[in-house]
Amino acid sequence: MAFKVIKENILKDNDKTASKIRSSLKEKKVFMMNMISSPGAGKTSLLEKAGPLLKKEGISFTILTGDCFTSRDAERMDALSLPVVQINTGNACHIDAGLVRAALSNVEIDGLDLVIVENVGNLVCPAEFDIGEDEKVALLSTAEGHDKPEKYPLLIQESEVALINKTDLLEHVDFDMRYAEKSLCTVNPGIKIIRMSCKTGEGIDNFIEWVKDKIKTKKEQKV
Amino acid sequence: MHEMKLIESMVSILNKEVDDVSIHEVKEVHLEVGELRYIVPEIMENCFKHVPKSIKLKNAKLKVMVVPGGKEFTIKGIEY
Ligand SMILES: Nc1nc2c(ncn2[C@@H]2O[C@H](COP(=O)(O)OP(=O)(O)O)[C@@H](O)[C@H]2O)c(=O)[nH]1
Ligand SMILES: [Mg+2]
Repeated sequence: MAFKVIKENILKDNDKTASKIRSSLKEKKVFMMNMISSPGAGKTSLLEKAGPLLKKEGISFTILTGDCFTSRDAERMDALSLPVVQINTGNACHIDAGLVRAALSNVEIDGLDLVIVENVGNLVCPAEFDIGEDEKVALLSTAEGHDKPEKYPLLIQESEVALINKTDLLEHVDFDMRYAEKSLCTVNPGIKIIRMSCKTGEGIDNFIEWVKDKIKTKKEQKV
Repeated sequence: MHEMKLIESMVSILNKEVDDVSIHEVKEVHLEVGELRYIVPEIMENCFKHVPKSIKLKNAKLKVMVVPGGKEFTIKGIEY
């Protein structure tokens, strides 16, 4: 019996593609965010709210929206004349770097400020796959309980910001905001937390400010 | 699900590694997976059985070792 040492990361092909995407977006000074949440937490709703505001700010962006089979989300955003590319992942529960590269090949990158990826609704798998983003954004909602940060630590550790959506429902659901925020900080002490509601519009401006700040930092980066 | 995707990536690396005249039949593949990857070893092992792969890997068993608190996804090596 013999043993051959390999020591190879099994995600290496994905990671290589992700690095290529990252360096080409770096060169073009485009900020890319990867939005991850469970199904129904409000990713598309946030884009419906924030998209028109970003436009008003003069920010040039494109949205890549992932879904296993349908193009419902893309249609919702298209109805608002938001620039959107649909990514269908089939049976896969996440978007990988190859899918992003293919989607971006349909987009004019020159002159763009921002790429927003709406990942497939799932708190586990999307966190595993680097897609070349600058930041991951974790979106939680009050309707899904305050214990999610502890249950899905990888996503929280990897995210720069956590959005807590559906604050308008706080009086109807058993969601302990202090508990949620405390456990977010325990899992990731540096995480920024934004409370918001896509229904009332509360906190959307804070999200826009965060995005603008990130775009500015990216523009100032040396290539 | 994503176990399948991971196994496919792993097999594409293994297919190249076993393309080596001194290797006739692989008995075991050792894979190290961090706990934070939320992998179910049994699902990985099962996917590995069924995914198309080099004939040299046909009878190989996948041995998944979970690393507490870790994030790795490393093929450590193959026993042949
Ligand atoms: N009450 C309330 N409902 C919301 C809010 N944000 C989203 N929703 C609803 O939650 C459901 C799922 O939202 P959607 O944006 O499709 O979630 P996604 O799967 O993460 O893209 C829809 O019925 C939305 O109208 C919110 O802040 N408050
Ligand atoms: Mg959606």
